[in-house]
Amino acid sequence: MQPFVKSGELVVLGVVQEQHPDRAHLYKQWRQIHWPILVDSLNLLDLAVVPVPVAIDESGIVRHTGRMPSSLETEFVRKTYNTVKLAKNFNRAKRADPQKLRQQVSKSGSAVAYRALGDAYFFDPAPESLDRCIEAYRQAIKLDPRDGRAHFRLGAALRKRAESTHRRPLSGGCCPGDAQAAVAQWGEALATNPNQYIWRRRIQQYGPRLDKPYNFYSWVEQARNEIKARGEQPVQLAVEPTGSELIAVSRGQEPPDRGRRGRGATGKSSDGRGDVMTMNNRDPQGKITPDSKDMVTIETVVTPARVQPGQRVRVRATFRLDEKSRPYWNNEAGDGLAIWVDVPGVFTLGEGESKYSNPYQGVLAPGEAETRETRVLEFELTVSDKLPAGEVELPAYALYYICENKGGKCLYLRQDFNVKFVVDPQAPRIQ
Amino acid sequence: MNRSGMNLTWAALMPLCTCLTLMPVPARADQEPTIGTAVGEAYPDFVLPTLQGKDVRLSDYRGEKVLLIHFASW
Repeated sequence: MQPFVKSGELVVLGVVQEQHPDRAHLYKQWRQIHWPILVDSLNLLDLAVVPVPVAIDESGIVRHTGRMPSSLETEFVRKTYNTVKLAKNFNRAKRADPQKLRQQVSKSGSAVAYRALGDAYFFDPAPESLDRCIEAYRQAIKLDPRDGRAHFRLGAALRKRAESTHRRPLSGGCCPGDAQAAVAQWGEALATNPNQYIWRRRIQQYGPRLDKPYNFYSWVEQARNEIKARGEQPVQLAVEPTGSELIAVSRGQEPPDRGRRGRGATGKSSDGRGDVMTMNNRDPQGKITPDSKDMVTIETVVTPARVQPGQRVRVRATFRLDEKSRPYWNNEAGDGLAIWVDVPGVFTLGEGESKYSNPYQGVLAPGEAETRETRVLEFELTVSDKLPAGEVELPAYALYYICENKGGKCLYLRQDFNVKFVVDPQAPRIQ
Repeated sequence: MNRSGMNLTWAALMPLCTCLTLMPVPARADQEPTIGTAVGEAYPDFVLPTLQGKDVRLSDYRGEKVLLIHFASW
């Protein structure tokens, strides 16, 4: 293709299905792709599978799609097609103005109109537009709860907000944060169309490790190394891939640790038959001092939000330090961050055949005595196939060593939280 | 209509016919193809941002042969 592009006989245009555009940017840099790449985070083009190449002639007519001819040169690039005279405005898209669209929507008020309004706001750069985008999609769904596209796009918008400085603060455990709400919306989308591969992969990349692990972003490490070897600076990622976005390695090992990943401490049984889950509730009476000053905010995201009995969920607990009081992790004391999950017999804490110890041991001192990074622990729960449908709320608590401010009083504290999801035999299966 | 009426009518129409003959005839578009993704259809136009945030439309490339590649970076 390159010679035809250089000679001007062919334009190559990429459209990437990607929640995080910067990852596509790193991919482009790594692969030294020189053609333009457009980002379709919302799946606006309704792709149900990728990759799909399409050969389009000078009049905009599709000449080949899917399987390309054995010789693209003779069967397309060098082929002469009859020019089709088209009206100037035929098949011309334009970026919708959300303000004008808003007026139309207030008159027609249809689900499709609200969805289009959400699309327009998603691309609008004004700071409040993402909030309005989310509200428009919610309204579309209220009018048509079976609109899978609206559910999917709402999930993409919520995830975008969750990873921005505008994410909604968690309100005392009452309501899910944006990241959890995004997962729930993607689940609803998939329930309307279980064959939608793009929608399925969007949940899977944040969900439990797949039975057949998928290499979502394990290329990132290799990409960075190869780019640096070329003497270039790799594109910075706003959000690092974690958890199931990185391929599962063979049993018994853990994915690359960047100092922010939790490790399940598994032990081998004495007869060598496999991993053993050790349970040690360090504070059953709740005697450890609670974090009454909320120096740490814990946000949990469970993927998927609705799960069939017998399936697994992945729990991601994010620990953010308060910005006003500016406490620090104390990396010189004890064994770091740990969480205990009150797991009744109907659940197994672990990933497939690997069981975790409870408490699940976390992260690790990055080298300095006091640091302020956001920490993440991920673990999985297998739901018994005998569990009836209904809402599940598992009590849990985190234990951590923290200093009130740099050089200030250092404490060992506990914070309680819950792991919530729904068991539903009708939930779409994502494994 | 009497003879003078017909003559009058024809006389009134003659300049109009002449004008119509002398006016340039606008080019007519071919019958518009169906918009769709199948072979023979006009691929639906779209506008999406590049990685740098600039809006690009597929129809910006009309007049050129385009190989459109839908893919994922995962």
